[in-house]
Parts: sequence; structure tokens; C-alpha cells
Amino acid sequence: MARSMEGEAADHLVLVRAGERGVADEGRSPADDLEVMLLQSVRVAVGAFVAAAAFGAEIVRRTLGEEPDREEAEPPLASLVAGATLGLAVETATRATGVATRTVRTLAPYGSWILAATGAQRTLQRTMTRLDTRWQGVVPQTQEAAEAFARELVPEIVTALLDRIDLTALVEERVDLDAVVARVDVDAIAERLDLDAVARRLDVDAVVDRLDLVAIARGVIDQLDLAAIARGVIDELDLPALIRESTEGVTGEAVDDLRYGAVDADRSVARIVDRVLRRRRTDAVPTPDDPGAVP
Amino acid sequence: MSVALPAAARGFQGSRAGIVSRSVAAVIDLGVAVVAAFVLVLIRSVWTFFSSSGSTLRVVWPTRLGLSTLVWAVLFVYLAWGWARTGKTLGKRVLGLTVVPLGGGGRLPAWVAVGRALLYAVFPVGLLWCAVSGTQRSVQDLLLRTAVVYDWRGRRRPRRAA
Repeated sequence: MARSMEGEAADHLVLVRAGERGVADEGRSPADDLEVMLLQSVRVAVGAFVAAAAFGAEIVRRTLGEEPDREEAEPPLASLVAGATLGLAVETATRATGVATRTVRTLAPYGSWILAATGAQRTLQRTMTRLDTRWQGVVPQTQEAAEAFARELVPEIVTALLDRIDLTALVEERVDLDAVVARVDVDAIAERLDLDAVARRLDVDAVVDRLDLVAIARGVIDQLDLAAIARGVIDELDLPALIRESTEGVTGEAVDDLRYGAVDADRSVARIVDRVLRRRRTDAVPTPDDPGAVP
Repeated sequence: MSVALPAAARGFQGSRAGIVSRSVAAVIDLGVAVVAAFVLVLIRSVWTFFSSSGSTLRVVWPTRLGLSTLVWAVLFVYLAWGWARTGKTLGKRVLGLTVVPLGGGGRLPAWVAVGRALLYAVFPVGLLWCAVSGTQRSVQDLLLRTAVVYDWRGRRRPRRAA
């Protein structure tokens, strides 16, 4: 759009180029000549400004050592910006010329005779025509230079700006992360994840090899108050009572066995002695299996 | 808290104990006396090490007569103390036996306990008479009018309340 505006403006301006007296010049009034002069004055001023900018841009481009890529199918953003800027400048010049023309048309009848009388009009027209021609010639270069300038400088400016801005702090200060997170549908994200595929891609052996399990275990153990845990467990268990009961259980059974065995042996010995002595024992030793025999 | 006796053992509680039970209890008591005597020897050895400069730490064994006398003395004191206190020594406690006076009362008079211990220390063979005796009594029992009966009660301490 900028380019079309620029082309339109240029076409309009070329039609009124001064210094070429042809059919169009016939029948012109002094006021028309003055209008042409003013238009060319504005064009020269704009051209001077653009030429200065082009000169600076050319310096930047050569310093950076990069030629513009003319083969691009789509003009880059920098080119569009540069073209738009130039088009805007020409459009502005055209508008300014229109305003000036209307003003001049009003004042021309009163001032044209002064210019015609002094002969300054023709000299001025030649000078402006020459400058205008030169400006027309440098327009493409100017456009390229502006594009290269913008292409190189804009990223630098953006990078420099980003370097100077603490985006993290800015986000923390300006963005309500809780609200953002609250709006995130985590379930939907989780549903889109193919966890099986992720798991298949994991080399668990490599992960385990990289883990220093000994150090991890040592760290965990260091953080645990094992003495306190042991004390708590012992307090809960009432270990002395547990040992006493279990010991009593084992020894009690052993003692019972010993006692039963001794009682049986007593009975056997008594029976043998009685048999040898051929007597009947009145205070017989009862057997464990026959407690009813006790007197 | 009384501890329930096994059903098979309830019938012969209080009846006279035979030669085997009493002999095993006597052997245990003799072992206790020997161990106690050995501990005394060790204590004396340590005492000697600390009391005399320049000596090394070693077991200072007494002469055979001295050792026998020590074991005999320990056995006498141990038996007398146990019988006078509860009628039970460690050996009798293990076998579930108790020394009781024939006249009743359940507990031996102190002089009887001391006399019985002295007799056993001097003439231990008198224990064998209980195998021959029709009333399961040893020579010491006959002299001091005592008897040894089965008594399994109190064999375990009651559990402490949680």
C-alpha cells in the first residue's frame, strides 16, 4: 500500500515537472507556473531529507556488510516499514503541496508579475528541475538503504531493549501468574500427553546409572534422627517387657519339661527301689499322668 | 496374682519329691556355689592387681584346700539363706521343690535351715537315703524333721501391669 501511494505520488509529481516546455505548457498562466515551482520546492525539500536519511542508511549498510536480498518473494517487515515511511513522506509532501498550491493560487495574481519581471523564475525553475531529477534517481537506492537500515537496526534495537529489560521481574510485577495458571486446563494438557511414548523413550538404566544412590541414601540417613526414632520405637514396644515375656515363655516351657521329666524319674526310681525292697509305699509318688493317685 | 498350674501337675503338688528331682536341684545348687566361689576368686584377683603395684592381672587361684573350703562355705551360706527365706534355693526353684517342716507352718525356722545347710555341706551323701526311705526323706530330713515336696506354685512372676 505504501508503495502504491508512493507510485501514485511520483506519477502525479512527474506530470508537473518543470523545465520541459511542451504542449502542456501552452496556455499556462503565471499562477500555474508558480504552483509548479512550489510543488518542486516541496519535492526538493523532501528529497533532500530522504537523501540524507539514505546516506546515513547506506553508511550503516556498508558498515554491517550486508546486501539486501532482492530475490525475496515477500518483502520483509523492515522493507515494508521503510517503504511505508517513504510513501508517507511523499504523501505528506503532496498534501503540503496541495495546501501550498491553493494558497499560491490565491496570491499568484498579486506576485507573479514580480517574478516575471526579475527573471528569477526561470533560474529557479532550472535549479529545482535538476534537483528533482537527481532525487528521482536516488529513490530506489534510498529505498534499499532504508530497508537495509531497518533490517539491521531493528533487531539490534530490540535486542538492546530486551537486554535492558528484566522481563522476568516485569512479568512477576505486571502479570497475575496465579490467574493465568488458573485458566490453564491442565487436564486437557495431560490428556494430550502420550505418557506411554515418553516412558518408552526413557532409558531407565542410564538414569539409574547416573544416580548416586549411595550418596542419596547417605543424605537421607543423615537427615533422619535414627536415635530418636529408635528410642520412640523402643518406648512403644516396651522392649524389656517383651524380652521378659518371651524369655519366660521359653524358659517356662523348658522348666516344665524338666520338672515333668524329674517327676517321672522320681516315680521310676521309687518303683524300682520298692520292688527291690519288696515293700508297698504309702507316700507313693504320683505320676503326672495320674494325678488322682496323690493321697 | 496366682499363676495357674498345668492341669497335669496339680495332682502331685505337696507330695514328697523323689531322689532324681532333689539330686538335680542339688547339682544346680552346687553349680551355683562353684560359680559364686569362682566369682569371689576373680574379685580377689582384681583386688590383688589393684592393691599391689607391679603385679599383672591374672587369676590368683587359692590352694586346693582353700578352694574346697571356699566352695563349701559358699554352699553353706547359700543353702541356709535360701531355705530360711523361702524354703527354696535356685536348684529347688527350678525343679519346683520346697523344703517344709514336718510340723507344718510352711516355713523353716532359721536354725533348722542353718543346721540343714550345715549337714548337707558336711555330709551331702545323706541325700541318697531319700531313695531308700519309704517317706522320701534324706538323712538330714530325718534329723531335722523336714521334708521336700513338689511345689510348682510361684514358679513365674506375675506380669507387670501395662
